[in-house]
Amino acid sequence: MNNKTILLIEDNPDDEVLTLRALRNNHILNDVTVAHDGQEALDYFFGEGAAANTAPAVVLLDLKLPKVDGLEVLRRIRADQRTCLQPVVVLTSSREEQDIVNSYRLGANSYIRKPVDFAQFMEAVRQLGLYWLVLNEPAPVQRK
Amino acid sequence: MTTLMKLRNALASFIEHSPFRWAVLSLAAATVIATAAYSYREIDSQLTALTLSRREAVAQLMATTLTEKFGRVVDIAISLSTNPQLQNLVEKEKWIEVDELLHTVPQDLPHIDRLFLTDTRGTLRADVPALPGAHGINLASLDWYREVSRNWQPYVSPAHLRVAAPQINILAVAVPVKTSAGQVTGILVLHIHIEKLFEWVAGIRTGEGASVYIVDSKGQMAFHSGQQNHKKITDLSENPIVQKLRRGENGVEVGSDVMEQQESIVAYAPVSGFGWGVIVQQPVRTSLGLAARDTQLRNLLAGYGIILLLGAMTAILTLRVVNARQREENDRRMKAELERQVAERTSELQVANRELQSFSYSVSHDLRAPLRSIDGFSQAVIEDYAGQLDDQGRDYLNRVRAATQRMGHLIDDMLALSRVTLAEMQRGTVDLSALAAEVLAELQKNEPGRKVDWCIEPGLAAVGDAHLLRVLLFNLLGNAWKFTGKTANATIEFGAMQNAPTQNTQGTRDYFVRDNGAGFDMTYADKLFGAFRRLHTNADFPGTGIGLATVQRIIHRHGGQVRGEGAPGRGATFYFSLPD
Repeated sequence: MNNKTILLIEDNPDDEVLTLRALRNNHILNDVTVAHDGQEALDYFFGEGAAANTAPAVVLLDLKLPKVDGLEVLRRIRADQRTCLQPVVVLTSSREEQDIVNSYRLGANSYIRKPVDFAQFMEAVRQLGLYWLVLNEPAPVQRK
Repeated sequence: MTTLMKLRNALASFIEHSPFRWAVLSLAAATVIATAAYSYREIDSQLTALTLSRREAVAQLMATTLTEKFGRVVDIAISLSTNPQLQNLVEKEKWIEVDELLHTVPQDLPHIDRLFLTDTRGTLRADVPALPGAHGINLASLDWYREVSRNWQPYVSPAHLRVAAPQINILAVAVPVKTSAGQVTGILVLHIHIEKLFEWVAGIRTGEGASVYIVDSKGQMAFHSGQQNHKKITDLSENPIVQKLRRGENGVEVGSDVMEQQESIVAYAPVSGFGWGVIVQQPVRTSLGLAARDTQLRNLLAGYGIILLLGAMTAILTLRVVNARQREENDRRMKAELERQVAERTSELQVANRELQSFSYSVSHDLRAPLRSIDGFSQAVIEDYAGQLDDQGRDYLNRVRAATQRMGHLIDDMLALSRVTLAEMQRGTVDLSALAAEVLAELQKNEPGRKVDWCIEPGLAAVGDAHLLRVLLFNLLGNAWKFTGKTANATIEFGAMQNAPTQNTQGTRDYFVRDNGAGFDMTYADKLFGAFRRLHTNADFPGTGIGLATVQRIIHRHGGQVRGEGAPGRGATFYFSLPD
């Protein structure tokens, strides 16, 4: 595996721990930056000192977030020229049609529902890591 | 025309809006009735008065004539009694000569039945025609003697029956015979044949059914125009009209006939100076005047009746128009109210639906997250602390995980059920046969190892929401698939049967899904369609108990009915209907 960064946007500490554990157990050893709410996530891209942050290989975005919700974060990422090509995977609890449709409409690259069964969750994270960190070729960096 | 319609509309709106409309209508009717009653009374009294005054005039005319007749008879008597020759003979009591003289009295006065002369003591001295043996008889006991001898004035007696045959009604006119010096020397008496004196009365046309009575001074009926040769002298002195006559009153009234006791117009007038009276009466029913009056009154009543009838009809028609208008107005109001209520309910429902949607949205997110934590960390403990856990500890944690996963499925199914309720229906024609084949193929694909015979009746189409009907068939066929899992020669059948048309409905069609699987006990049939109700253990046949609840909701949303039949070990059949 390479050393690309993963940005995990997740407010639930349990889910954060479990996601990190799933990544680790699947031997995905990339740097993981965690944003605990929508604002932190936006700060990562657009805040002070954001220029120092590397563009993540993939953003794992939860939808239900405090302050700024996941869909709004997605909309802002897509709205900004610097980040509009950033791969974003929605990783959330719900399978509500409206969530799925809205996510894709706002330009999500993928939508994955977190299964309750941890074994299934492990498998999902494994495939996700394999795909986005290994197989996927991201767009060239657009930053000035 | 427009003016008329304006007037009608004004009237209608007045009637419609006035709280006193009944009072106004009653007042109008009362006015018409009062006018009718007034006119009736006016015309009645005027025509009656006219008729009565005519009768009265006839009576008075006759009374006057009678006075004259009596006067003439008395004049004849006086002229005889004042004959100087007679006076002389009587004075000298030369009765034979007197008798001879009397015979010279002209015989051309037919109503003079007899005449005779008495002396001042009432002893008959001469008579014509002579009655044998009459001379010398004293007649002082007779009324005419008493009356004349009281003050020696002429006297007209009441009627009485002549003593000698033939018996006829007569009256006596008695006058004193005096000397030239004025001394009374005798009494001259004329017996007047009443029938003949009053002959002329019969010749007077007094009207149909009318009759004339002549009443004497004693209140006896001396003459009756309808009964010629009437011999009987009836005493009428108790009759109120006769009493009025004897008091010298005249008049006319409608009342009981003096003789015949029928409703009559009775006019009466006294014969002045003689104490007699005339009564002219005519039965009311034959009175032309009264008949004319009655005809006029009838016409009047009919006219007012028609006016009232027309008024009533107008009022009724107007009221009907008004009522129809009010009904229309009520209908309109009710419709508006219903529409408002529907709009209200719809918006309430929309609010409830939105709330339900947001509820299931948060359920979807928030209820699952803790489950994931429980499952994930249980797994983490199993993996990371394997050395510190014995088999029982691992077993417990695995049970925790199994329970959380089951909870996850329950939440998913619950959300699916609420989606069935909340989803918007898009109706169209759906090929159920094709859909069933599709679903069974999918089931087969998921479990390639199962061997199930299935039979689908071709060409079954229904109107409904394609997505929901797919969910419906997926649940029913999925159940059949699941519950035949332990059956050898598993068979699943999908078809339809036509119900006989009833009085109220056309023949409906019931679709059915039949299997020969585990079946169920009909005792619990009512629990089949409840959410999370199960008739089998999870170990026998896994499930959350949401499938048939979903089926029922889908069928109800289509306005249909669903029921199940079955027996343990002998399969189950589910029937459902989908009205067009």
